Amino acid sequence: MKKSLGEKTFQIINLFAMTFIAAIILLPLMHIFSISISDSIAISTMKVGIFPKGFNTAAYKKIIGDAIFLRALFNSVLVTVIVTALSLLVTTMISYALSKEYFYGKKFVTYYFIITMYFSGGLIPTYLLISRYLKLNNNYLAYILPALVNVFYIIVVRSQIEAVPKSLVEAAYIDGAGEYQVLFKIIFPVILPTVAAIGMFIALGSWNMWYSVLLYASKREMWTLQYFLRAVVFEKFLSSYADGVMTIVGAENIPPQNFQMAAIILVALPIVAIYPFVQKYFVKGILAGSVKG
Amino acid sequence: MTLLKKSDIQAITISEQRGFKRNRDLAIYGLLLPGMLLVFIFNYIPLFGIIISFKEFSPFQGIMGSPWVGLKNFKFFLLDNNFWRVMKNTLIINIMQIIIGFPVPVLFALLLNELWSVKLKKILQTISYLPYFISWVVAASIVSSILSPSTGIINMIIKNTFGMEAIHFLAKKEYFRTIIVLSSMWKNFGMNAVYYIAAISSIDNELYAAAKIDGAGKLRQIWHVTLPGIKSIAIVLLVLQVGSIVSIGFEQIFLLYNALVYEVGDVISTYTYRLGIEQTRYSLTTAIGVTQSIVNFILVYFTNRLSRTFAGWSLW
Repeated sequence: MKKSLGEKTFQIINLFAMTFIAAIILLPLMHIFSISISDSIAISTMKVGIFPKGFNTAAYKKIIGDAIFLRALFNSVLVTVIVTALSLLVTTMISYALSKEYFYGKKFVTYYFIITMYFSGGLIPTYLLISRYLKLNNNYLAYILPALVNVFYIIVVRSQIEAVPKSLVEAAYIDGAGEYQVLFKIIFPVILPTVAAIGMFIALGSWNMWYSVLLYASKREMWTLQYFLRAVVFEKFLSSYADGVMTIVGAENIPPQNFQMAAIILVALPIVAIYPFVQKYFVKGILAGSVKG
Repeated sequence: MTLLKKSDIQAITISEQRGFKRNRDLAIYGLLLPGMLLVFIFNYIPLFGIIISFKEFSPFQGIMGSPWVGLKNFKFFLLDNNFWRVMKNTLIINIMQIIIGFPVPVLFALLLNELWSVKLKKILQTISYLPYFISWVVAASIVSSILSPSTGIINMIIKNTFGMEAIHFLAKKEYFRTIIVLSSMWKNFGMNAVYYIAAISSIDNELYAAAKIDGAGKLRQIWHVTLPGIKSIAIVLLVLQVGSIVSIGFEQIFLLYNALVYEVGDVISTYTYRLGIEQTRYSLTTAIGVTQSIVNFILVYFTNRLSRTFAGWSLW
């Protein structure tokens, strides 16, 4: 089929536009990466653009060997794994219960959860509760517990469970299965794709979390990876390195920019590395969640 | 499975019976217990905590011991110029985000759809929502270093190519709101476009064929076939954005702002944080939070009604 001149022109313009968009997203990342490995003199005289000048991995070595960075990494992994696993468990349990045709108190329980989607106490009462009354400052539970129940996900999973053929469930009852067995052996495997998608959202939220650290943590050992980055970039958290917490790798002092940019790259790396493989499930999950029956 | 005959014609299973049935219900309560407990502690107790907005709360006296002051806290912030400045910033930044940030995902989806190669489409789409997955700490760090007056690439171009003085963008009131809106768009447009891309791909190809036969060129096809196809989802998303016009996320602004730009960049969430957490003015900030919740709820409710009327779809 012959393309008209108009169509060909359009395609070329489109290609330029798309390249521009891709550049806007990728070039900043390249710039950051370049500064992180560049020679310090080039950085301070502003010669480093998208490509590095010189080669210097001292900042990376420094950070990777740093106790606080490693502890923050550990904290992030720990919290993410626990929150994702527990949240999926609790969510599935509630969704299954709410998907039942009837039980005594069903209406009450349903409203009990749904109301919390529209009304909340706000920042200060929650903060006072967790920090003063539950005394969860500097405690992992402050990161974990509030994040476990999300009514939106409950609704999504519930509608998936409702779509499971009743015959499957009835057959299990006839074979003598109790509620818990039905849930874990029959329902769970069937709704696994949805659960996996929601699990990814939860994991992402947990991994990127730093606000709770700001509110509830005063000790560096409780930092998450994102908070570590915030401290390095925005609070000039470099002074501990002069305190002798870590010995300096190599003879020269590492300029702050090398250090900060290296921190950005290291903290962003896990997501950027996993993301290409995982993103299509994410997208499917979003679209599925927004389809209402 | 036990069958209980209500009459000769009707029979219902245990699952459908009303009233408390021990065998059926206890297990279900067991499933619900952890969740309900968590929600009670972390959602309902803070909800009761709203009471401190009507008191002059002091941590030493506790909630019960603190004196009642009625609507004093509400009157205070409603008459306070600082609060209205903050409200104005919230609304302005949100409106800017709607005006600039709303068309971009639509345009991107339209252009992406016109690419001839499926592989190219996939690659571009994947790149486009990469910024969505990184945290705001990473994103703000990138923004902050690009705009840095000493090492940032933008100022590099300004100094080396144009020979002008470096500009400290993030410290200047004239630039701050634009920076917030543009960086927010950078981060979100790819993911926001997902809905439109899905909607476009579900448009019947017959419609395009029919338009071509009628002599429609590319632009006309887009105008008459593609756009109507995404109309409903676009309205829904737009309405949802308008519905949350009094709220702005805390993270982005908190990371990028500084005292020099409070006047234009301080929004309700950051203002509440400073007054509440840093200055411990608990009662006042709770009062602000309550009011914001109510306004937000009313807005969301009405914009939902609108969305349902015009597009036949809403959040509830």
